[in-house]
Amino acid sequence: MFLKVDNLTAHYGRVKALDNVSMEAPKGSIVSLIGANGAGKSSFMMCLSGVLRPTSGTIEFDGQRIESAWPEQIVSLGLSQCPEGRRVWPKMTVLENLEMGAFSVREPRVVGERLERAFSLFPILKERQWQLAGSLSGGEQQMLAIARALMAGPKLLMLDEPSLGLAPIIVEKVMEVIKDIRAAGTTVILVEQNAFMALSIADHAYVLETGKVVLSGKASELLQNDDVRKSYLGI
Amino acid sequence: MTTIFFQQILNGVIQGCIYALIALGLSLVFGILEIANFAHGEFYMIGAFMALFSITFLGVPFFIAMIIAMIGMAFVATVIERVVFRPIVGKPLINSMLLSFGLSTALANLALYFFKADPRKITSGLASYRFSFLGLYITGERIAILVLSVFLVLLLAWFIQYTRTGKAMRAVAQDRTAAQLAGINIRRIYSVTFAISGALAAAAGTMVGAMFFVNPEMGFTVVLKSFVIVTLGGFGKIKGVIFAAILIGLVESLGGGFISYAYKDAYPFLLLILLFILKPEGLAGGK
Ligand SMILES: Nc1ncnc2c1ncn2[C@@H]1O[C@H](COP(=O)(O)OP(=O)(O)O)[C@@H](O)[C@H]1O
Ligand SMILES: [Mg+2]
Repeated sequence: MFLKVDNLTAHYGRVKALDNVSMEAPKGSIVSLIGANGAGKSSFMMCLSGVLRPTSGTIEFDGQRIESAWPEQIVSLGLSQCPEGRRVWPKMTVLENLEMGAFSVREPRVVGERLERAFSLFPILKERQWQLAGSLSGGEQQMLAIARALMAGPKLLMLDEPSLGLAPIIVEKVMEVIKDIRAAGTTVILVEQNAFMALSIADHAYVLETGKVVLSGKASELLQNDDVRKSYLGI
Repeated sequence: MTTIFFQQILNGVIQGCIYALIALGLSLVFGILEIANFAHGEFYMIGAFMALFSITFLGVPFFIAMIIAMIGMAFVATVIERVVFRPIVGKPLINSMLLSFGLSTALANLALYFFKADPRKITSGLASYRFSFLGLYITGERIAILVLSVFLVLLLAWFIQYTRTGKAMRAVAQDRTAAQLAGINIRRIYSVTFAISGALAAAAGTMVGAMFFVNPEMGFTVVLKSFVIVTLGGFGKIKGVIFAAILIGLVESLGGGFISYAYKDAYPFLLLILLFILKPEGLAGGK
């Protein structure tokens, strides 16, 4: 299995954020994580990125155990995250944000190629490359955040609520881009507020409730599941 | 009268450039590690002693002594960061305030024990060259110090603006987690930040040791003035800090020359209090 998480438990001080979470993602798939606010979706991603240290459990990525690796080692192995709330560096230019996204990449030629790709994926970023990231609109910042995560050349990209607070037309665009990213061979883990969208685009999905996986399966099947429809799709 | 005035302006600018070297390091550490380092004055003091001993025992020239002090202090600061400050990164500010205050006292007392209190002077060998223009006097030593400090400040500004490591430092200062997610090794950035702050403090200590004296207590008032400068200039704002440093240098020098030299050290704090009353949002404005 490309990504295999076993019995992952994590705490903030005494507060338990994740409780024995297990999940898998096959290579080339889109896996969605859905759940209410505070369910532990972001904490799960931060554990995978090495920013939040799990209390117990294992994470195997592309044949390597990474639960105690440093964040920069995890990025170098090919696992990147586009965090919730975009978190671009507001007082750095768009270009500098992208350059720093490729911090783990040593060859200038590769950085140049990735920059070209980012600009062709999001032409607006090329236009605004000399502008401070803080001066971009919310949608543009989200594109920058995705492009920055792609600059590391990930084999697996985690996106934490990429459509939060965006106009519907921009959300469309973001979803198209996610499909393109997968089509280019990158595995995707997607956390979305909008469960309908997350399930429509994904192959597999997991439902989190207060740090526990309560339901998982094929996304198409979860779309038909009564509990899911009631709790997350509002149908 | 006008000659004295311009003489004091010149002295104030030189003093201000030295303050900029010290305050920039303090500001970088504050911005990147979110640590208030009250032991920063001791970096400056130890750096000055390193230069003094390099000249006394190794017989090297002033410039070489300054470089030795900068490298030596960069190393010591890195070790201090790793051992003392690393464990409290991310904790509330009071932790670093107490810890660094303790470290400051410990380092100053160790220096007092080993180096004794008698003030010593760093000999640059340039003090005897005197130049005069438009009725102003300046020694070769002061010209060298002015040029060196301006050079170091510009070098730092260039480093932070244009190098890969400098950009990573800005990224960590603006959003530490985002920096980690981008693959930036933040522990290395912490080390580099302390190395830079130690090296700049050592350069400043060497310069002050040449113009005035070196003694174990020289770091005490300097660190407080540097906090005044960083507060005035705006935390993490390089240009603001440089501007505030020169302003404080001028205030001290003009106040010392025209009001009373006895209160020289008090003027920066008076200015700060005045500013808090008149312009609570700081010199650089809000944000
Ligand atoms: N930095 C933090 N410090 C303390 N508790 C946190 C922190 N971040 C999240 N939590 C707690 O962990 C739980 C999971 O939060 P989170 O992972 O952000 O959920 P989600 O992303 O699903 O909304 C919540 O109870 C939340 O209050
Ligand atoms: Mg979240």
